[in-house]
Amino acid sequence: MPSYLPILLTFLAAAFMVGAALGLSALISPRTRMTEEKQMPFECGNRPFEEPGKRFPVHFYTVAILFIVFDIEVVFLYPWAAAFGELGKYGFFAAMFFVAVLFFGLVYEWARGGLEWH
Amino acid sequence: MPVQVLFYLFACVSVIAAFLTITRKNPVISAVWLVVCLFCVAGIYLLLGAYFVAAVQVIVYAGAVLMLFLFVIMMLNLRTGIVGQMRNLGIKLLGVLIALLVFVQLRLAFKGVSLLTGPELSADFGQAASLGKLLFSEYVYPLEVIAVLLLVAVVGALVLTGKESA
Repeated sequence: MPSYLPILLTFLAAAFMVGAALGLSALISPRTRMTEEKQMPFECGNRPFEEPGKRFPVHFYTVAILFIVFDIEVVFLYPWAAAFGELGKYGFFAAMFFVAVLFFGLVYEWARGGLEWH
Repeated sequence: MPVQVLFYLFACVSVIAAFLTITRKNPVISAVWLVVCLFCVAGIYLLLGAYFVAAVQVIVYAGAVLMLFLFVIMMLNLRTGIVGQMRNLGIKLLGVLIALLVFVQLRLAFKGVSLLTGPELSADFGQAASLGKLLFSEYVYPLEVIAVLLLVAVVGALVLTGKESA
């Protein structure tokens, strides 16, 4: 079993940073009364123009889905790269076919204007 | 021993986080608890020796898929309390029934298998290289099917969200 101590330490460091930031500010900050203005989200001194959680263009969602698809493609290519030396020609062409199928997806996306921001 | 302690830690936290996921009123907070749950499941994968799957669990599920969930929550403009208003008893009963069915099926699948003493694993079990060796030789066909499935996802996303005339 490879050592996962570094990852554990990273998590502990992250928890420490968050805890320290929250804890110290709770300790040091002057205690004043909470007013409505203080609890508002900060928008350059303006009152918020609208409620958060407004509907937004579906285009963001398209980008997100396409990101996931190509993310998963890379996830599959990673074990291929790790085992590349032992796989030989067969593995190479299998991976190329895999990439080629998804390349069609990229071409379709490009041709359809999915990469442009209208 | 520390492995068992870690297992119980991950298992308990994941169950608690899953419970909080389905009981929170605010869907965004539910999604954040789901991240905690998925991280703990990744930890359990690590303890099982499935290192690559654990990494993918964090990268794809806790990262990308959760981001999609948050997108959907914002897209549908779900506000606090809307989820709480879904009090359709029939749906709830159906959910309980399906959960029970899945549980029974899992129980039957693991019948006679000792979960504490698994088979001996080879030294490179679960590493990316050993997975790649299998994936790109023995399991090439499922792999290419996955490629087609991802292609369908690309086309589907573009068609569903596309303009009337591109």
